[in-house]
Amino acid sequence: MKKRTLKLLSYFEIITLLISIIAFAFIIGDLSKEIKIVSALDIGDIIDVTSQIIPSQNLNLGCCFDKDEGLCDPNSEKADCENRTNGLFFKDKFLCDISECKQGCCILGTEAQFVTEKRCTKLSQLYGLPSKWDVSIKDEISCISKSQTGEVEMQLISSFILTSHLEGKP
Amino acid sequence: MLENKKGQLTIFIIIAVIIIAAIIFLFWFFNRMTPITPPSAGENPQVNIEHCINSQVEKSVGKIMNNSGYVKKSNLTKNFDGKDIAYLCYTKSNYARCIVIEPVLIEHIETEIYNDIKNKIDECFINLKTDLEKEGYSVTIESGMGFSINLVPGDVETIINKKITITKADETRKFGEFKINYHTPLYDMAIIIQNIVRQESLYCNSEYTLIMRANPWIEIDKFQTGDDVKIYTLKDIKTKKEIKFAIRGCVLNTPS
Repeated sequence: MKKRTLKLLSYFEIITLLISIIAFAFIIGDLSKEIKIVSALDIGDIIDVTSQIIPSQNLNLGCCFDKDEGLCDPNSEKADCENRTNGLFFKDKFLCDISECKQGCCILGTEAQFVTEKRCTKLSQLYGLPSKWDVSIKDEISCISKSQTGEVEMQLISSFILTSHLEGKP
Repeated sequence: MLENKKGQLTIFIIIAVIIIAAIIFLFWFFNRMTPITPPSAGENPQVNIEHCINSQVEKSVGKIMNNSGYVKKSNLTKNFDGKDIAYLCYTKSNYARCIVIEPVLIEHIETEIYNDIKNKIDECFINLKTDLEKEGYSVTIESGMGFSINLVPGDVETIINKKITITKADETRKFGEFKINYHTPLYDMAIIIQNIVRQESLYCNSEYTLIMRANPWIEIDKFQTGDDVKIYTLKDIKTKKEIKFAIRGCVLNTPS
């Protein structure tokens, strides 16, 4: 009788142990997926890519302006740009030194991004936030740092109060 | 003897606790594994279509993320880490700025998804009709259809204009527009890719650390190979989704 109980007990323990192993493996299974070993230098890097040639040899380069998103792609090919519904091509302006691509600081709510005026308007539409584009800020670092101080919020709030006041709104 | 019995009782209690815990765990586990069944077609055709379209969009987005912005593998790739990574800015010449391969990137991605799913949309409507008819509905689906794909922050938006009339007993319901959103960081990642490509084609480099500072949700990794090709890896910290792309520009001649 005692022997039988012990036998039963050991079966119970084995089954419990098996269930626990499966459960534990399942739980850590999710975590192990994220562990990835990346080699610093792969042999594939040595493969030559010079055999891969851009299809068109007669390149007609310029600036491609995305008139919907307000983004500028310098050094773009005319055909590639004009193939797109929203692509506006500026011949020879491959550095995108055109007024459409002039960047300024877009103050959007409490955030700030260094983008074109059109992009600033687009962001305002996308996020449903009021925006202000400031061309006097000439670089990205000064623009981003604006968002991280409370300066941006204060500027917007005060400009709204001022606009409302001038328009006679309550 | 009494002590022995007490010991046995303790063991049995422990085993009982373990078994109960195991049952609770298995119950929770199977509950989690059971897929959420969508409502029947008749109950909500919008959800039925949404489920079908989103599974197609999901596949397309997956391919685009895997192939650096393309549904099918690009012809212009760099083999890195055993995988072909598409060039998004490339010049074969040395001492030259790279040429943007896909200007108006957002529209390019929208077109890629559009072309990949356009044939599957009809299949979704055919399946919907079959499901509805099985539920005893009489279905009329107009043959014409207009649809568009829009990449917006956080989503791929599919808008389908198709007229459907379903009738059962005296009840008739009409549907005309289906607006379906698939949640993905693709748009935001594409904007960052465009920015890196723009900087690389202009300045032969990118301020990717600054981009990360402005977009703390993304992790950008740049690896320069032995032959001066740059491999960028963008990883959305929240969803762990990533895109890799290659750039070859401003390459200096290596002295032999």
